[in-house]
Amino acid sequence: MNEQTLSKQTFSRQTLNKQPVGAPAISEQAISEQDRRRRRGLIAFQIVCYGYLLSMFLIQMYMYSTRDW
Amino acid sequence: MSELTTSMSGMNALGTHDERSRQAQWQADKWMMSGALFLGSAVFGIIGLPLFLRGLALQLKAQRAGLTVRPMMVTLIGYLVAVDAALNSIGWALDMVAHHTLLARVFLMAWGNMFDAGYFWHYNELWIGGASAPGEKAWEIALLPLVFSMRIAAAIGFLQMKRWGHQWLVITCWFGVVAWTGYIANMTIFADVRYTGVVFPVIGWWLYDIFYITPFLALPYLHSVNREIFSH
Repeated sequence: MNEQTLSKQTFSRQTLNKQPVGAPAISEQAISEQDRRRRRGLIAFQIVCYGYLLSMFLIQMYMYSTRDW
Repeated sequence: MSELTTSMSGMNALGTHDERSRQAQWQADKWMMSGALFLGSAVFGIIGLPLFLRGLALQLKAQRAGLTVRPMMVTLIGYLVAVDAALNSIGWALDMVAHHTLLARVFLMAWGNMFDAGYFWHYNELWIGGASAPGEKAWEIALLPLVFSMRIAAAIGFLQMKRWGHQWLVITCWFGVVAWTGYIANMTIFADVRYTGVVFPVIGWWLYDIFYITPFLALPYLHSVNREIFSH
């Protein structure tokens, strides 16, 4: 089974109906909202990481241009 | 055909499929593990790459044949992390405990001469031996026995599709963020020590190291992959 199929399976109504009795009901909308927030957070994380790496590289390049290395 | 017969033949077919899938995965993994061992040794990397690619091709072939094998992304991330951690471990282990060997003096000082004078400048002059760059030994002591050994263990668990392997890979990838954020800050602060007189300052170091720095960017995938595919 490929990943995409598995991923779809997790969020399908069939799987959601397997919630234990008494567990708070989770709607598909709530899950997709959670998923959206997580994705947004991960994108922000990537921008911060890449931005930090790039700024350190640029600082070093600036030093390289002004020093006799 | 009775319902029972149909059910039994179905189970038999499933069993055969499962067995064939396991065999195909193991066959591919044997090639990839041998390749990763060579790649992780740094010096014999050139031998490891074709072995690894052969294993990858076998897995792809099995996947195309409809067999249930490990997802390609899991395979690539798992082996990448294992090889990355092994490469870091071997270099730093040499510098920590084998800094007076001929291998370390050739391998590490050549690296120092080309890209990072932290491995050239006053080499073997501190009481602990090896690299004398400010902070370098502290990173080695903190990262080698903790992060890199954990990362190899996590990568093995991840490749076996274990739940703990996925969890520990997430944890150690976050370790990687901390490690590289600190290490690159150190490189920038002490840039005058590390780049003076080397053959390829800045650009050379970044070109070489970007492959070590980037594995933590697997984090978005690890956080969004369906965890149900990892067994307990």
